[in-house]
Amino acid sequence: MSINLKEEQLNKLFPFHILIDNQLKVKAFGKSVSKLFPLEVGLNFFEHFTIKRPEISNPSFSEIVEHIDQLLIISYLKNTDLFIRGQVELLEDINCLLFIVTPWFSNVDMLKEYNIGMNDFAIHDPSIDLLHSFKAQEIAVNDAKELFERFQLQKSDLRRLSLIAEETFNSVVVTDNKGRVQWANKAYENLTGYSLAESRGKTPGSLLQGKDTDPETIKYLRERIDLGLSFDCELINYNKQKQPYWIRLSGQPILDRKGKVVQFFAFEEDITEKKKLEDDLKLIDFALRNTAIPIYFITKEGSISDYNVSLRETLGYTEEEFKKVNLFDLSVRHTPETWALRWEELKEKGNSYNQTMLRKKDGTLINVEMRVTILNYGNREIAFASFIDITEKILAEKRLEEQRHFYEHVLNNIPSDIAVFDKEHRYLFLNPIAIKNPELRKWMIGKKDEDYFLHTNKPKKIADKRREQFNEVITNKKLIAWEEELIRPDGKKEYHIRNMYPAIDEEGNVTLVIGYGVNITERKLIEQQLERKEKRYRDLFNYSQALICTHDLNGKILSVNPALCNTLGYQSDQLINRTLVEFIPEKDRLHFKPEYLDKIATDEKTGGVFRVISKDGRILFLLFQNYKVQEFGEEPYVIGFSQDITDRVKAEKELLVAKKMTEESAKAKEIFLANMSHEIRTPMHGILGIAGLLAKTKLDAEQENYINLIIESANNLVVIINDILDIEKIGSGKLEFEKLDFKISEKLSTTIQSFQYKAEEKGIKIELKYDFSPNLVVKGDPYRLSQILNNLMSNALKFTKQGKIIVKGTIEEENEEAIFMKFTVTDTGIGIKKDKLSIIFDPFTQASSDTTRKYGGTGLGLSICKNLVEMQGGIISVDSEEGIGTTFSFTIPYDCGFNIIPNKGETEINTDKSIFNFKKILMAEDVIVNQFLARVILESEGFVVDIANNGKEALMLLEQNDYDLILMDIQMPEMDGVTTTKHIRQMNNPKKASLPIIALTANALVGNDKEYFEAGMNACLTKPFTQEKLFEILNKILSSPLNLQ
Amino acid sequence: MKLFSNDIKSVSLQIEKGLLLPLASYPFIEELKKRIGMYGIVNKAIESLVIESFGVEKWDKIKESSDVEVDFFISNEPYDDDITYSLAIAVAKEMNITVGDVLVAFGEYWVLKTAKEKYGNLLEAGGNSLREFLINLPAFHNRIMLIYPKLTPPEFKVSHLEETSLHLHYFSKRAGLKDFVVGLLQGLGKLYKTEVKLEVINDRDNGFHHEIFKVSW
Repeated sequence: MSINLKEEQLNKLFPFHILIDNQLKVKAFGKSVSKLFPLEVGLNFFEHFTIKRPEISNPSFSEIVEHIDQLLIISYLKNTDLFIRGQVELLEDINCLLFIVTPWFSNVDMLKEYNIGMNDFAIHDPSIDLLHSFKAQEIAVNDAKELFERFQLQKSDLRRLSLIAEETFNSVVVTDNKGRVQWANKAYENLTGYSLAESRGKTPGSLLQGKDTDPETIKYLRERIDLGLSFDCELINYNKQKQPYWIRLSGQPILDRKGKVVQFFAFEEDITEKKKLEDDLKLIDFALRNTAIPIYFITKEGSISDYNVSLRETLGYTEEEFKKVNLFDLSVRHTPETWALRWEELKEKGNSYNQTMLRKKDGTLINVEMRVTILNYGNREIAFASFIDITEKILAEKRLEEQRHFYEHVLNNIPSDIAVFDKEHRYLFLNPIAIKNPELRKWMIGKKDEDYFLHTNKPKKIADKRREQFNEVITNKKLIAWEEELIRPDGKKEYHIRNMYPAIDEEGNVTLVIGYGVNITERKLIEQQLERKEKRYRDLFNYSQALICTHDLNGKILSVNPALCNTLGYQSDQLINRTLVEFIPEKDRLHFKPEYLDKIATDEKTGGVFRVISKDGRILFLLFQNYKVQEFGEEPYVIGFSQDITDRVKAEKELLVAKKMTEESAKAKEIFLANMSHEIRTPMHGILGIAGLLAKTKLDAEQENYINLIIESANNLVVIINDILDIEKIGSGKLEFEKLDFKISEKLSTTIQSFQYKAEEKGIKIELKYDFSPNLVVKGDPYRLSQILNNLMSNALKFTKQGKIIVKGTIEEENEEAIFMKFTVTDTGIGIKKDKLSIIFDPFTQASSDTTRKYGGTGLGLSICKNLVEMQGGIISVDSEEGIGTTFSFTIPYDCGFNIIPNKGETEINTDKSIFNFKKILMAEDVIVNQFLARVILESEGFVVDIANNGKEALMLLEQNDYDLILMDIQMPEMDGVTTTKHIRQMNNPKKASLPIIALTANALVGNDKEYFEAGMNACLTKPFTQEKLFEILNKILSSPLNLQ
Repeated sequence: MKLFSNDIKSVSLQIEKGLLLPLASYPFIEELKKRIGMYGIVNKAIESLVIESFGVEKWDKIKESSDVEVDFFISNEPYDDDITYSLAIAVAKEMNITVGDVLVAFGEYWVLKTAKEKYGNLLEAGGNSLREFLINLPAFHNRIMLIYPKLTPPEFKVSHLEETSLHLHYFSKRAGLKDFVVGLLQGLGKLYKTEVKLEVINDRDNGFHHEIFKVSW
């Protein structure tokens, strides 16, 4: 039967068919084929397809026909993954091969890839269903895999959980709903000591409860289990060995799906240690709360969250008060801002430890050592602070520091070097005296002497010695002292006394060694100097020519020098320990003790001359100067220095004799001069007096001339005598100067006046010039001024034939104390040779050898002037030119005068003779001429005169008569004027005793008038005197209020 | 339920408004439990949906409240319909929505996720468009019977075929899974990116023999 199918039907039944002709070309194909392959009619089939199975290597039409009724698997050449499977049938009528195939998809994704849907297949084609089945299987496999994986996971989890449960440190117990053990892990066994087998079927309580297990806890557990509720408690159990332990028991029921309790799962944590820790913590908490150390907790905000009693009490707050206190009330350092910063610092650092101050309730501050730590627990941070009040400690430290400072100050200022060492000889302390440089001093702390000496390049041997001494101190535990020599950088030596002594503790061990040293360089130098000096003194003692010995206060000889030995002729051992007195002559021994030993004991020195007896019996004179020496702690002794003055004594004796002779000679000379003066003056007085009287009589010109010549010659003689006496006074130092106020101008005028007459006679003009006030008063010796001026004027007049003589007076210099008056006498005379100017002031020297012959004179005048000027503190000079003239200049310093005071010997310018009348004068004078002269002169003025030839007679007359005045000659026989005056002054009659007495003397030597005034005389007139002078004195005395009746 | 959040929200609103009854009020629950049997793949789909939408914990909770003790659903193994339904009820209870809405969500999820992930492009082999697929649905579903011998798949027929609509007849021995079909159809619409509108013309709840859905696109 043949069935004809339309193409549509063919497509519906076999949508993937392919018809090929005998040429193997495609004739037709199904509607779904083109979704798979880009076929076209006419294409060679095997150019696109290949039959994979059965493998037909070279398919031909006929060959393919042979494979009818076989399953064909054909692949597309352009996509070898795409297969179609089916069969082929020969359509004989059209000689074509009809492939009835269907695509073979290995997975559903290929459907989408080729856009093949269910409608592309024939309804009967199960390809889609096959794919679906594959997918279902794949899903099943995936499920299986997933299930397996889940199973594995669960198995792993289970295993892990089992392991955890098994291996956990904590005990895990699974019980039934009655609490009976079904399973327990290893930890349970370890904890309880019971094995699972021993525990299974029993309640844990029945095994583990003991005497201290809390019954209330047991009751709680029972109730919870009965009710099927979870439980959580702590209880004490006892293991198999009956040892107690604490557990935290947490359990919960395991419910089935219906909520019924089927088991309990219990977790037991061994909290024995934790319990112990809790107990410890409680204890610690108690301790912290009750410790004396203040403790507190501070939050980040600065509030105090917890504290102990000690804190509050230390700060002085009550419990109620402290509730309001925060950190910033206590802390002097912190504000909220600074605390916040500090908080961060603490977190980073972990903790801090520092000193600070806290404020108490009363506002006082305490010093504390504070420790603060930031603690973390849970999610909280809190600062834990504790402190120790170190206020007292600080005070103590301060006091200690002050003390240390004080001691250090003391040590530093002790003027000796001080060092402190440890037992190893390392420096612990040095004062600035020891080492001046503070840097070096600091460096040396902890170092040894060896280090120091190496560092400063000093000799090692010194360090070695110090070490040696140090070791001895350590060993013997005793003070050691030694002398040390050092060389300074400048090369000079330095000496030190070093001492080391050990500081020993109560157990007798050396803890420190203290060294101190004194620089004895100076002392050493002094010692050396002393040694040298001692040597020198010994040498001096031994080699001195002075006789030196020492003896005690009893005169026992302690030491003698060789010179003394030699002088006395003894050996030293023959003198030492013997007494001095043994060597004194017998006659002098009595005086030895009182005049020497006692004297030197009290006066401590004495001098004089000993007479000693030498070994050979000679008397020697020893001039001694001895000194008592007192040394501290020693018996006093005497050092005697003496020299043998025996020869000197002898010489002195001879000298004394010579001196005596000289003195006697001088005395004789003086007496001679005085006598001569007196002997010459007295007749001179007589001559001049009588000549004066004669001059007043009526004379002719020739007689007058003779009288004038007599007077002139007599005056010249007087001048010469005066000059000689002056030279003698000057030479013997007996010239004295007056200190009288006088007017210079007057003295100059008076001097000029006295030469005016003679100058006029020679036709020489005398000029007086002065540039000071006529009233200028100075204090000095007017007489000597007159004498000098007179001398110079006299010379000027003598040596000037014509011209003039100018006398000048000027003030050269004036100050508060003195006025320097300069006087010049300038003449137009013969002048002086230049070579004589230098010797013109020498005594007995004249300008030329002719001068004496030509002009006369003694050559004493200028010498006297020079002496007079210089003795008053002035200077004199001369300037001259031969043939032109000479100028003598002299300057004398005078004190500034105040007033003119008339004094002794000064004659008043105005003499009131009216008072002379009837005044009775007693004149004691032994020279007849003078008697006559005086009587004539006095009686001419109205006096009544009685004459006594000597002092005795004068006394007798005075006894018998009353007088107004006595003129007393000095040199008289029987009784001289001085003696007589003394007698008068001692007379009982006061009126007579106080009579004015005027001395009349030819003695011009200074000192005599002093004797006269001391005897009681009122005035003194030197012979020869003028009438005017006599009358002036008489007027002065008689007009004195004491004398006026 | 990310994919169906809008539906859930609308359903929740209805519950709040009291328009939907709580689960327990449905009288046919017990009856349904006796009759329905589903392959594991469906339960797995429910599991996946819940886990994907609410997480594992939620799924565990739902499973616990559903009393379902099956830890792992094997896709090709049939499970008592009771399980599926219990799960659905549990989900509804947990999410506070109706079982119907749960089933709709399941349906959609099944097409868009489960079928796609499990079967890949096989589903799309059923047609190039929604219309084509729906036309092939009867044949497609008939093929399943042989592939899943333990399964009693529902039968579908198509009538009133128009260009943009057809009537889909749903024949099933299970009652109460109409919403699941709705979800499947909605899912197919989304699969083919075609807005679908469903109208339940006949409903067994209303005494009809079978459900007829008018599917318009």
